[in-house]
Amino acid sequence: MIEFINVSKIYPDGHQAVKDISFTVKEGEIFVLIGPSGCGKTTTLKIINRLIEPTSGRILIQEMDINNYNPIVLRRNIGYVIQEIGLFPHLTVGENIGLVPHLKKWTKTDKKKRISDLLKMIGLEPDIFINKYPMQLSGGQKQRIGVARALAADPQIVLMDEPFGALDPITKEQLQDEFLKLQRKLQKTVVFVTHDIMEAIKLGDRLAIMRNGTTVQIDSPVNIINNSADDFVRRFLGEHRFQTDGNTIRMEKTITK
Amino acid sequence: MINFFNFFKDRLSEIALLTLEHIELTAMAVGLAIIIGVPLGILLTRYKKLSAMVLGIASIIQTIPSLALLGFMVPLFGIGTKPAIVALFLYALLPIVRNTFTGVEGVEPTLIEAGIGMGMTNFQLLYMVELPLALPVIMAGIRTSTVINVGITTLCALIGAGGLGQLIFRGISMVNANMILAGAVPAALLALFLDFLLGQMEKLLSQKN
Amino acid sequence: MELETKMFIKKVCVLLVITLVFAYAGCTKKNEKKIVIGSKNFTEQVILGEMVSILLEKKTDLNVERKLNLGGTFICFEALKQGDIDLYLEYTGTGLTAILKMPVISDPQKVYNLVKEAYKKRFNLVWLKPLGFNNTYTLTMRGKQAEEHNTKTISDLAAWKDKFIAGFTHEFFERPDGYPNLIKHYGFEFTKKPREMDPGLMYIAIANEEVDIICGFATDGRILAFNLVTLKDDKDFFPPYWAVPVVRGETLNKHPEIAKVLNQLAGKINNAAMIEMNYKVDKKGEDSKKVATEFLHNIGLI
Repeated sequence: MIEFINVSKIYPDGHQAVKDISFTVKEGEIFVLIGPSGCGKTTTLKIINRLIEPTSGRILIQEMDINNYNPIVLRRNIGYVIQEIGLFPHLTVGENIGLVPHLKKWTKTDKKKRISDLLKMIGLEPDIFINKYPMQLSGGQKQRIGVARALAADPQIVLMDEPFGALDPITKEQLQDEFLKLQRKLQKTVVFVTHDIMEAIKLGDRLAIMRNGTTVQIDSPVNIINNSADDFVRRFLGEHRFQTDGNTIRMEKTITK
Repeated sequence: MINFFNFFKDRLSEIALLTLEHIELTAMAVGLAIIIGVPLGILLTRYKKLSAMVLGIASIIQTIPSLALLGFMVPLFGIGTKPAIVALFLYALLPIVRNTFTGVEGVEPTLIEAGIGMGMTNFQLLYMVELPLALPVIMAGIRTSTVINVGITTLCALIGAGGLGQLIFRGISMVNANMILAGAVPAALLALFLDFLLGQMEKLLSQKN
Repeated sequence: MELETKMFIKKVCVLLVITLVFAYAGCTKKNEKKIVIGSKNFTEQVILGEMVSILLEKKTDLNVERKLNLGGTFICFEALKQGDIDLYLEYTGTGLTAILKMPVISDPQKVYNLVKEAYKKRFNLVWLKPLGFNNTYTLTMRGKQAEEHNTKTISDLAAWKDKFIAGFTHEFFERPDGYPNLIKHYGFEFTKKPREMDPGLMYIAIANEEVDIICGFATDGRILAFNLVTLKDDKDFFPPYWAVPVVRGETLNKHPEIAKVLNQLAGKINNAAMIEMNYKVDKKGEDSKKVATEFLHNIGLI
């Protein structure tokens, strides 16, 4: 679905954020970019919807070079969820969710129905929430709506940049579970950035472990745990001791006092 | 006190007419300043290198004593409402340009990113996100501009533009305190009223955010 | 004593000394031999103010302080009453209508006698002897335009009341010998509301053709300078305006030489002479003091 071929990004000041990376994201999978800060994961994500332009390499979506797409049209067909959520405070929940459909000139009726359906999908009663303003909502509600907004025009690809990073642990876990449930239904192609290895393992179908702008290992969580490519990966998996049992991963934690 | 009220009563129609003239002058000047100042402020956010220079020039204009500025206009535009409105317009610019610039600049970068990521064009970003969010600040600038302008408009009677200043100048030349007050009091009330009105609008707009 | 206290006392002493010096200076300023000459805010007044000042400086031992270009009629009058100035040049017609608020009389001598008596009685202000010219209010317009429209008198303007735009000073709108009564007397008014402005701007406005009629003064040098003409007051609305020095009774009692010296000017300035002096300053840009001095020299007073 999404293909990166020898992509690099060098900034004018010489800093190389992404060094010659190549990978493929399969349709319908959750592909996680994970690594320590500064590893280039967010840059890589933003190259997909052309918020950042690479300095070399090619990016293909459905076998078409993304340079051949109009960037505005491209972005309207890719869902984008950010950590700060970014709901527009001066618009209602309904207006926020309906934004991309509005940009795509959907009819009023279509928009209304879609907003209603989405709110139900994320477990919020439409009649109550459609006219509320973001400032009246909790963090968890806001991010659910952020996700709904990204899904509103029914894009095939959804990009998520540490979407649950600003939430408390309980809400985070809730949203992760809800997200997995949603994904089972919708089967979107998701590229997900996080620095939280637990989250990566929980959500990802495949992980791309990044370091200093390159990918160190790209594989399923089970394989990464059982066959860590190098010490860095092993250290990154951390003090969490993971045990795999077929396709189940169990976690053991050691706390040294 | 009673003297003043009697004076006011006798010349009521004249005062009303002059008040209307006064409002017209202020409205035209501030209106022009909004039409030119807001786009200019937005432009400055796109070309930030210019902002220091443009805001600097506007600041300097503001420091020119209003009377002097009016005087400068006469050889260029003659007497009457034209030079008055030009001078008043120049005075009204700074608060509006500066507040538009600050307001739009002050929109959270994450909201800009969200907007662009969603596929908004630059124009859509401007009128769907930046301007609505900057509106309270812009409104505050318009309000400041208007209130200052009402005061300066009183000077315009000197160059034949009419308005409540006319009564003040006549009162000065006749050494008639009631006449001066008949011009000054409505002018002050006008300023207070507009300040209140625009303040309410400002409040309404910020509530949404 | 502690150092701090010593410093404090020193500071207080210095302050005290400074205050006393200023107080003394202030007191001695109330010079017994001082006289303040004021004037209204147009060229003729400044020239005459200078003239009077120079004459007094040369022929008496008074210290003359000038407060020229003060403001309009009423400002000068108030200043004179209050004692902020001791003398200024007033016009008999103005005194009659604007200050005394009496109805217009046409006989110039009668007007003079009336104001002289009334001012002495009511305000203890003394009208000295008239300088010799009549600077009457006039309605003035561009010479060319007057020719084109064949307007020679104020009555002639009635035919063009819809066309012409007038420009007057703030005073002219409020004075009894001003616009409101003028239109009553002549029975017509300008359809387009007359513009109101600072006296200085009036002549610029008419020269730039932004207004067609202004309330000029008969001896204004700018009439010559801008090729303007004055319209005849055919219905005798305006009173006569003899220019006369008006001085505080108190001041005159203290310094009777003022009257002796200034009355030497009586009848020495006619309309033509005043126009020429005004013209020199307004059009040729000469200094008022110089023009006044020259004139006094030419008539042999200094």
